[in-house]
This record gives sequence, C-alpha cells and structure tokens, in this order.
Amino acid sequence: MKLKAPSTRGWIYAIVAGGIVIALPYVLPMGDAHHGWWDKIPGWWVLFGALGCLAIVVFAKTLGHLFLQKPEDWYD
Amino acid sequence: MTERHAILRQRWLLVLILALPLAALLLSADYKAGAEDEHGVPPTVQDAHHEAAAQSAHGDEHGARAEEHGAHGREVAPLLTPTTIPSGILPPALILVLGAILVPFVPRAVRSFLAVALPALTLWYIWTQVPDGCLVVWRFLNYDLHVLRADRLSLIFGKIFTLVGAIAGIYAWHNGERRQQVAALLYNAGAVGVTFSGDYFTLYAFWELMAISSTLLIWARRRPESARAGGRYILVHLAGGAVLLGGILLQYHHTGSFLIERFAPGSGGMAAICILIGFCLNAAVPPLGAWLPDAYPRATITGAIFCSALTTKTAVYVLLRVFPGWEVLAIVGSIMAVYGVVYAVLANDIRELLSYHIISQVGYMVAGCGIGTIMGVNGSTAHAVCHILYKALLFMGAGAVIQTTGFEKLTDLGGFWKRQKWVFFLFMVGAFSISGVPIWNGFTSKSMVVAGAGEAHMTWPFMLLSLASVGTFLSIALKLAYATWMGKDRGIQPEKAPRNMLIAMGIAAFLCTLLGLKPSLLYRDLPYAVHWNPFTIPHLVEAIQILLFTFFTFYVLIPKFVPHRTISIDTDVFYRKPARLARKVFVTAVGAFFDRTDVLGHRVADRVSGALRDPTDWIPGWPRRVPSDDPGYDEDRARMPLALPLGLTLLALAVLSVLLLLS
Repeated sequence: MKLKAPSTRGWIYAIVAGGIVIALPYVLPMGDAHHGWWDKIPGWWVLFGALGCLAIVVFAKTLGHLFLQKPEDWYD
Repeated sequence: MTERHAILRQRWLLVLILALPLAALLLSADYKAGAEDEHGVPPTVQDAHHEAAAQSAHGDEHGARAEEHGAHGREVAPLLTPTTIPSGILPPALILVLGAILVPFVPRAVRSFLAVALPALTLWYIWTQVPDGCLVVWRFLNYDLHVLRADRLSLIFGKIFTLVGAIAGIYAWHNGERRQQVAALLYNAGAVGVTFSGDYFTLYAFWELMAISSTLLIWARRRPESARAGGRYILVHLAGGAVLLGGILLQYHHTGSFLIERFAPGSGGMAAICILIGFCLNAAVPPLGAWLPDAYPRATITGAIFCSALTTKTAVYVLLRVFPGWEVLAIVGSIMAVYGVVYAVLANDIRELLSYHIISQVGYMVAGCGIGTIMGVNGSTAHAVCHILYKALLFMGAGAVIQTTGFEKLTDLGGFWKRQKWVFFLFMVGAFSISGVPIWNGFTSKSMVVAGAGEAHMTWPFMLLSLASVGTFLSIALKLAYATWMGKDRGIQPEKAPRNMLIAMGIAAFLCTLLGLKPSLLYRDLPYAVHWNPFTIPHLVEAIQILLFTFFTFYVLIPKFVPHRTISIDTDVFYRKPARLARKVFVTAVGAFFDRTDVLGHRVADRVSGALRDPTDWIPGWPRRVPSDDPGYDEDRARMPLALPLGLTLLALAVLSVLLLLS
C-alpha cells in the first residue's frame, strides 16, 4: 500500500478539527492545573500525541526489523 | 478512493473524538455538583460512610495509619479495616466450587444456565451477605485459616470477578462443553478465593487452582499449538507458584504466621522478594510475563474471556494488598505500560495484540500500586474494574470475529465491517474505553493513575503512562479496528454471531459507558474516599488533544500498519528455543540410552543363558545330547494351570465362610 495524499475534503476536516483542538486551551478556562514544566509549553499535549505516536511506531518497527520479528514458523 | 481515505470519510469518528467529551462534560452530574476544593477540583464522591471508614482507618489504635513513606516523600495509603468482625458465613468461592462439582452431572441447557447463575449468585452473595470487615476462621490441622477476610479492597475485586464471570457465562452459553464450563467455574472460584483469603495457606491453594483451571481452558481448544502453549503456561505458573511458596515459607519462618500482611516498602527481606516475584509473574510483569501473549491467543474463544479478566487482576489485587508504595513497582509498571503497546504495534494475531494490551493496562495498575498513595491505590483499583469490563468486551469482539470468519490474523482479515456492524460497534465501545476516550470508563480510571503519578511528582512514570495511552489508542482503536474490519476488503462473508455473544457484549458495553458517564458509581466502592473528578476542562482538553493528534499521525502512517505474517519474540525465547535442545538432552537422549541398554542387556542375558543351559557343552570330547522330540521349555505348558490356584482360593473362601457362619 503506497502513501497517497488525502483528499481535499479530508485535509479540510483535519485542519478544521486540529485548529479547533489546538485553540481549546486558549478559549476555555483551564485554571492552574499544572503537573510540571511541560504544561507551560504551548500545545504540549498536541505535540505529545503526534510525536508520541510517531515515536512508538518508529521504535517498535525498528526493534521489529532489528531482532523482534521472526517468521511464523520460527519456533518450529 | 483508497482504503485509508475511507477512514476519514467516517465522520462519526471525528464527531466522537470532538463532541462526546464535551457531551460528557455537560452530562456529568458529578461536574455540576459540589463546590470546588482548594485545587479547583470539584469533589465527586463525598459518601459519609466512606469518609468515616477512611477516617477510622487513619486513627485506629492498631497502627492502621501507615507511617511508610516513599522516596518522594509521598504518604502510602493507610491500611484498610484493621478490626475484623468474626462471622459464620461461608466463603463466596465455595458457591462456585460446589457448582463446579455439580455442573458435570446436569443436562447441557442447565449447565449453561448454571454457568451464568452461579457467578451471579456469588455476586449477589458478596454484595448482600459479606459485610466490610468480616472475618471467617476455619481450623485446619494446627492452623487457623482466614478463609474469608473482607474489606473495601477485596469486596470490589470480588464483585467485579463474579460480574465478569456471569457476563462471560452468557457469552459462552452456546458452547455447552462440560470441561470448559467446569474449568471456568473453578477459575472464577480461584480468583474469588484469592481475593477473600486472609492467610497465605488459603491464598496459595486458590492460586494454584487458578493456574490449573486456566490451563484447562487453553487445552480445551484441542489444537497442537494450544497443547504446547498450555504446557508452557502451566510450567511457568507452577514455577512462579513454587517461588511464591518459598516466600510464604520464609515469611512463616520469620514471623510464625501465615496471615497476609502488608510489607512496608523495602522491608521483608528474601521472603518479600520471593512473594513479590510470585505475584509479579501472575501480573505478567516483564520479563516474567511472556506466558500471557503466548497462551491467551491459543485459549478457546470463550475461555480467553475468563483468562483476560482473572489471573492478572488477582495478581494486581494481591500487589495492592501486600506491596503498596514499593517504588520499584511504579517504575516497572510504567515501563510495562509502554512495553505492551510496542509489541501490540507489531502483533498480527488479534488476540495476541489484545494480550499485549493486557500487559500494558496492568502496567497502569502496577504503577498505581507502586505510587502507593490513596490516589494511586484508588486509581489502580478503579482501573482494574474498568479494565476487566472493557478487556472482556474486546476479547468477546475478537472471539466473535474468529467464530464467524474462522480467521484470527490481521493479514487474513479486513473490509467487512458493514457485514458485521453490531460486533464492530460494540468492539469500538471497548476500544474507546481502553483508549481513555472521555465518556467511557477507561478515561475515568486511567486518569486517576496518571494524576496519581503527577501528584506524587513522579515525572517519568507520569510521562510513560501518558505515552502508553497514546499507544493504546493507536494500536487498538485505530490499528486493530482498521485492520480487522476496515482496510482492504478480502471478501470475507462472516456468519451471524450467536445472539448470546451479542447480548454479553452489549452488557459489557453498557457497563463501560455507564461507568464512563457516571464514575461515582465506581468511585463510591473504591477502597478510600475519592476526591477526583475526571471531567474537568484541563483533563478533557488534554485527552482530546492527545487523541486527535494521535489519530492524525496514524492516518499519515497507515501504510506502516500493513500487517505481516510474522511473530514477535518475547522473553519466552529463553525457554522456548532451548526447549528443543533440553528435550534432546534430557528426554530423547535418556530414553535412547535406556532403550539401548535394555536391548544390550537382553542380548547378553540371552547369550549367557544359552551358554549355561548345558555346561557339558564346554567339555571337549563329552558326548553330545541326542536331539529328541522334546520341544523344550514351553512356558504355557510348564506353568501351573490357572484353574488350580483359582479353585484352591475359592475352596479356601468357602471353608472360611462356613467356619465363620458356624462360629
């Protein structure tokens, strides 16, 4: 399966939804519920979701290619 | 339109992620009620009885107030109900054990009914007849066995174990296989027995009952790979049980008591370490947890539901009982949460993927136990309850797919969600629950554990647990659902799922939603008073941001999620690979040696007996015997006829009988 660009409608959905979600902390009363330094970084949880997902996939796939993944009959 | 674009056309997915959390905010009665505390968090559960119980625990003269502190200066949750009320009631596990004895002798329809009714009866019994703080002591040999010790922690675990037993019984209604039904009831009895055990003797008996009965549910699938996986499973669990038993005996040697008591962090020496290893093995803590994704995907479709709910969660229960505040558990649990999702990204078998997510989710519970504060213990308990419900739902969905399509690998599945809408819809409820999507129960419990880590200033556990929630949404709600039902249409025409399966899934989905919308129903039964509201704006915004941008990244990376026909090696490689060599050395070679020795021995004996048959043959010049018509020795001819000893025996019996009658 090759990577292809999303449809125009898909991009519009994604940009609108992403923009709304990024803007949420600035329009809603967030209080001062800080866990730590990271809460002071604008868009921290947006970055965390996106980069965390990317990191998990890259980490898992790398380990898989290096030594974790074996043919199905490897134990036989 | 490629397959991956189809996912963006499912507008309901975006609506769910965006709109439902806001709906939850509006719907939540908990959010509206009550004034906010000094942290800006409105109290959710202020149950007076609950407060009183917690307060009594704080001030009890028996030292109920724990004086233990972790390395971060956090205060470990106090002991629960230190006073016990002697009682004459029966242990709840007895209902299930007696039922398991009865079940094989009744007709199939009654068996299916009992498989639901007995756990339901036990649930009712625990709910209404077992009060908080009651104690039942049975005398056995020279020991006082505390066969029933109930407090808030054991009660909530006992309730959820029996509830999921009843739901799984409905799911398995059509099955009717005697062996599985008995094994499932005994397994449930083992979990309930462990939960209410007050001493290690009782705990160990039920612990091993769980190991044996769950093995039967794996073997019951009657496939070669199930037989092998079941063999490995029971060997690993017996080894873990042996370590646990060693710890119990050491503890008895040091204290002279079998009673289950909490170990203060870092105390207890070798006894505590052995007991901890035994518990951690059942909790599937890496590197001791490879048995889980090895065995559960090979269990029967219905048996896997029980497996997913019971073994690891009883281990979490005993960890919460004995080892709260052990910081090593917070670290190990956090790593475990990420470990599971990394393997889940690679998995191809749908139930193996779910099994790795058991490890990941149990990681939250183990971490909550390691955090050890009231928030940590409450969060861990709440997450165990929610996890049992949504994980059972996910395994039921996966089981329905296997039952109706005959396939269990992602490489064989895809593109049939419109032909299996109900199963897909109910599965997605479980998927959103485990992912912590607001409105479902995973959000209300997982957030407690993560917040507990934040409150305890444990930065790395906080980050790793947050990262694991990204991986959970990615691999279950997105990867698994996409690759199983959406993706490339392989022309699969699934059969209709049995109605009882859908009913059981519907009940589990309803409970996941109910506890997600109204978490106070869960919070009020937690071990300690709860001052936590998940439906605050910062929490909801955080959840929405994480979920939506995980979804976007998944969308971009969809080609990376094309499944491959591979397996992923885990720590079980250290005993599975050498197993072949060990078998050759210790079984095949030893057997061959005995076989050769046997043959050689017989050959030598044959030669010697032949040579000694007539020693005169050795004397040169001695006249040889003249061959005659004598056929030689024939054991049938030489043996005393059978009739003679039989006749003599009968005669002696008759004489004895006459003598006895005359006397």
